[in-house]
Amino acid sequence: MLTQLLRSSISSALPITVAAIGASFTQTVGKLNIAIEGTMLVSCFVSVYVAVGSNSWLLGVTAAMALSCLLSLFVWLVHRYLGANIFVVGLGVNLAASGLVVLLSSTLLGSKGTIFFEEMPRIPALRLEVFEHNETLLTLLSDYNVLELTAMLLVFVSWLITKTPLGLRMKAVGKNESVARQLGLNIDGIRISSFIFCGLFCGLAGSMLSLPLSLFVSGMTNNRGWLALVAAVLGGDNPLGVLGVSMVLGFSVALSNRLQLFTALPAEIVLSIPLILTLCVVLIYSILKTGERGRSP
Amino acid sequence: MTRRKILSPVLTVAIAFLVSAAILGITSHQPRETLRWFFLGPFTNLYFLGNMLATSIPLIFTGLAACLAFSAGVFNLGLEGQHYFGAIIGTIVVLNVPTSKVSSMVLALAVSFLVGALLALVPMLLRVKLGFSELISSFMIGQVFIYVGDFLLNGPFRDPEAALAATRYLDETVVLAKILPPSNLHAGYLIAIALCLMFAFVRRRSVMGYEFKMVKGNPRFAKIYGMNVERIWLLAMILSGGVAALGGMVEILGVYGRAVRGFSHGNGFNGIAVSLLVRNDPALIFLSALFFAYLESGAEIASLMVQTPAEIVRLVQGIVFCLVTAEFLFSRGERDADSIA
Repeated sequence: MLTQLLRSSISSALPITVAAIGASFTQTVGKLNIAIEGTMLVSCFVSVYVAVGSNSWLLGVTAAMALSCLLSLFVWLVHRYLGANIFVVGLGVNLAASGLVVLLSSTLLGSKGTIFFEEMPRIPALRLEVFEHNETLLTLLSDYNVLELTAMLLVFVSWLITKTPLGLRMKAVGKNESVARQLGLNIDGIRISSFIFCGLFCGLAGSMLSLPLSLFVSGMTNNRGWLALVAAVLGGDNPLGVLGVSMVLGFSVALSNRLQLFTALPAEIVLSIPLILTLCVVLIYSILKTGERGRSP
Repeated sequence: MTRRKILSPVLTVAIAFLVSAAILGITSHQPRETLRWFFLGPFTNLYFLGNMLATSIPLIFTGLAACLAFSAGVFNLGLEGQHYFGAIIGTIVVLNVPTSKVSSMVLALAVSFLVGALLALVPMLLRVKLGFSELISSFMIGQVFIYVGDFLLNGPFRDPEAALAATRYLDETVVLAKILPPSNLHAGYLIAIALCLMFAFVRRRSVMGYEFKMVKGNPRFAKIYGMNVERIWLLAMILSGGVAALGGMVEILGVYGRAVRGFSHGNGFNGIAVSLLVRNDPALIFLSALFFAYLESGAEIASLMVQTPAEIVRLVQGIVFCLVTAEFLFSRGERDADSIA
């Protein structure tokens, strides 16, 4: 029971982690992109729609990543070249996305509710035969699907990126834009690349939600984008920190799913549990941090 | 407002109309009929016109609420939750506390104001005491209380005889007077505009308004100057949350007569765009609220007359959000793109 809960925590945490790392790139350059909830939602839809249409999950993921990249760039371009407030544009994308997916699903698929896809291509999963004899390890470490494995790889890759010149430059731009400019850094280029990363990561995160279940609902992301934002803000510019926070948040999502299945708690309360636990995490983390600051001279 | 400053919102509105017309034209089976109802529907008779004005009432409140927060340079993304939950608690309290007609209306407004203020105060305290961005925490706290509100309406306070999740009806005497029957337009419209004008006056003429302006412009400078920046932020947030909740309560007192699940349907969020569209000028909020109400009523009438998905409104509202702070005709470089308004 506990191992299953842990396993489903990891599975719930991975999409949040990926989206959060994407957001943390934009946070690093000082332009937090709060549109990730909407971006993920659009990716959810596009990935299943394209995957079923083309009978290839890979094409579905690619399309989702491409589109969410465009959305992310849209946020950046409207902010940079039309001078719009980036948070308000982000809200706009979230709002438009929630309308768009319902509109698309009702015109393209003829239903506004939950849509199941029968002929979804199977997503390969890695089964580790080594742990065949050990039930616990098998549950915990085996049977991750390709998307989840990619997500794990991406955490590592993004950790590497923060060590590359590009990653360090992102940090420099975020810390002090005018100094970075005087040092001759291409600020626009660096910021665009961080938004491209954000788009790609959110695209993957969205597909991870819908593809394995082979279904789509308009409330599919269910505030996961906002949880990811919290993870991005708390984790700062360190992908491993983001991973750590996301794991805790993933646990709270998994827990609320369990509660929905095994207890008679009202659905509304169950839906709010991840948010409440996330707020608790924020509270504890911030208190610890201000405590540290208070002690040091 | 200078002429160039007026052009920007006008362009935003024009683009929003074009996009909605395009989407309606593409998705509808009878594009001409749909477009006609969408654009002219609200003006075809007094009933539709009154309803459109009534639709703008909660938007004026939430627009003013957003404006209050922006005026001190803080973000309140929890408007939806404050609007919804504050009104639900206000309704529940009045239903369960026996009072006379006038005092129960005052009680409802006071309770909802307090609840909304409290929901807005918590994220701001998080920011002031612990340094966590109010942007995210206000949204999350608001969202939690939308769920809690849904739960209250569907569970403990649900009217067993109602077909949908809603409380019992308020006493028939505890409602705001109708202005243009049989439409929904009610006296709340006057309250909303009075509040806006009041804040416009306070902002321009009072010490508080000056403090808001200073803190918004440069919090560090204001602090060095000896102002209590944190106190002003908290005050702005409390007023913002309170006014948002008042809007919900007035909506219930004027239109629904009881708290119904999902009655706020995005009014809280749209308040942000309502305020930004007129560059946070409280005296003009009623105009941009009317624009949003026009979009909403048009889409509603169109979906009533010819079957069109009503979700189009959210898409168009999203597009308005994206463009509302954009400056189409300004020379780049002089402005700080992060400043609000």
